[in-house]
Amino acid sequence: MNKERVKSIILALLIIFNLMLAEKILVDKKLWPSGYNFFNIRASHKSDYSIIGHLTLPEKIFVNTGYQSSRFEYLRNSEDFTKIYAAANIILQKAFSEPLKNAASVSSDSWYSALTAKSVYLSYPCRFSAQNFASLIGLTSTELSFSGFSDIVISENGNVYIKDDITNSFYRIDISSSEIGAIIGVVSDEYQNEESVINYSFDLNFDKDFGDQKTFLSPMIPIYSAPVAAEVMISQNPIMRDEEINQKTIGGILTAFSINPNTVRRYTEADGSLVFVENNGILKISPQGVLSFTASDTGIKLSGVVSQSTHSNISAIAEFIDKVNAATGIESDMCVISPLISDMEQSFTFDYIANGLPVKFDGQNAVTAKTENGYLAEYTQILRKYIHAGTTEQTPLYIEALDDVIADYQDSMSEISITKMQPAYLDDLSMDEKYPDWFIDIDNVIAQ
Amino acid sequence: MTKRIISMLLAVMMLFAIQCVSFAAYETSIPLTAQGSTTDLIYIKRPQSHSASTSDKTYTISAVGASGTNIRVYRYSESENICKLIKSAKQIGASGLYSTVVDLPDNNNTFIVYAENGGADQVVKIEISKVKKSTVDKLKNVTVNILNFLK
Repeated sequence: MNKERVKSIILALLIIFNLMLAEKILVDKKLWPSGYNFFNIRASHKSDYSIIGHLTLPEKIFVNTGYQSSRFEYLRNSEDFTKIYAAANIILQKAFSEPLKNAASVSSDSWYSALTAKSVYLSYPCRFSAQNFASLIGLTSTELSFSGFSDIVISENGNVYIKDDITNSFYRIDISSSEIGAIIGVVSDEYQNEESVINYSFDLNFDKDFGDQKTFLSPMIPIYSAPVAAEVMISQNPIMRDEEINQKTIGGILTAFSINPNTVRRYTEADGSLVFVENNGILKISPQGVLSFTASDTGIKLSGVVSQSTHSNISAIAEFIDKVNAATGIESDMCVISPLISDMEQSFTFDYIANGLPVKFDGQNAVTAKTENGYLAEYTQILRKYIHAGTTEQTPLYIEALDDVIADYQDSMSEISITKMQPAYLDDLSMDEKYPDWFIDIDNVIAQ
Repeated sequence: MTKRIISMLLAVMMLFAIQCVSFAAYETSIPLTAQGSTTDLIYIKRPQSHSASTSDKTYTISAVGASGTNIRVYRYSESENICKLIKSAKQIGASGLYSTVVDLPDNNNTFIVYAENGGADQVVKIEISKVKKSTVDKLKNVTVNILNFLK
């Protein structure tokens, strides 16, 4: 066989392959078979826990398959969450770059229709103004002017729905994209034999006042038909090691707070708390793992503060938390809880996220921080590490948890409003196993 | 004549007995024609009109009622002409809320929600029909188009 003949055969084969691929694109457009799971492709990067990189992540994502109550929930610790969010983020960047006139005011019915149709629902742990959200996702500015939102729905064709909680209005920004539709298709194929019944409170009319009802659930509360299973986590205090204060960790914390260990005045309180007094302020670290700093003068200069904007302040605080976490070996994800709705927010709160679920302390947050003119004025952190216990437990049924909480008010109330109800780890600061349970946030109790 | 009267009395007694037997049998089944003694023990929140269409394999029924009310759910079996228990008694707690997920094996499914509290009982009939997903999508499109047209 001469060389020319071999070349001709290879050329012919290449042309045939070319035609086959062209046919796929022109006729079929689907370059992967139905059921192909692109979620199985391993992520190229290791998941990291930097707070700065997680400021605009939703707390959870629901994929609404279009069947009324067949929905799937994705938590922040899953790779699928990362992939769905990556697709959603591209659409959000486009939506927040649109001119104001493209944000059409729509009825609440449109919002609820989008949630019952094929869509993706992003549930955020805090409220954002349009400006703060846009700057945190990397845009320099936005013409959109939502006052405060924590819920976003993206329909299968890419339209973005936003519910403004402060003005109680709904908006739609038309973005054309097939990314979300493809994800919903993959999820539906993947789980076609699995039953996952999740209703929203509005589906069951638990948010509406008819039928002599005294308990009202906010419309977007997810109602799980079965108990939620999650791994048991063990809480650890990084300050203590073999029942002694870990001096290496203390040294790391001092460095994070720009305190020179050789010049700082220090003393120990009766309860064993270490107190460090410097010109900038007073730092106290308790053996229970609670760290608190109060500025006595200007405070500690925060790096990266370029203006008094919310974006600048929270970015600096997130970076500071990253420093403290690195010094104490904490590798937990964290999310912002406090609202980011004004242009110059200075006070922020954060909660830990362990195993994808929020960790709730009784009456306090994992981090409370306050800035003043680019300086750290106040800072409190409950230092905790959460490690997997290797066993799985179930929460009670949602209604049993709800009944238990409301039973405390039953005799004295005529109405009660629940704003948030979600599976979480409830941490009482003890160093033991934390089981998944229900966190229930009561907004309003009307006495009899 | 006496025999006839005795027969009639027996027949009447039989009828009452059947009623009593069927009431006792509410533990596992309930006749489709059963009537409750009251209508205000529970309020069905979903489906609000006591009938609905869905493309799902399941349906979530929700209700509100007074704390302490026991609720059971039955599904009508056409072949046996009786509603059989599918959800055993569940007591409404302090929240006053109730919800349960029922399977939809047939195109037309009839359920009886039976509530009892302090000697009073209530029977609510619920009809859930299954429609094809494509039909639901078409209906949604029609609704959206009409809404857009009206704007």
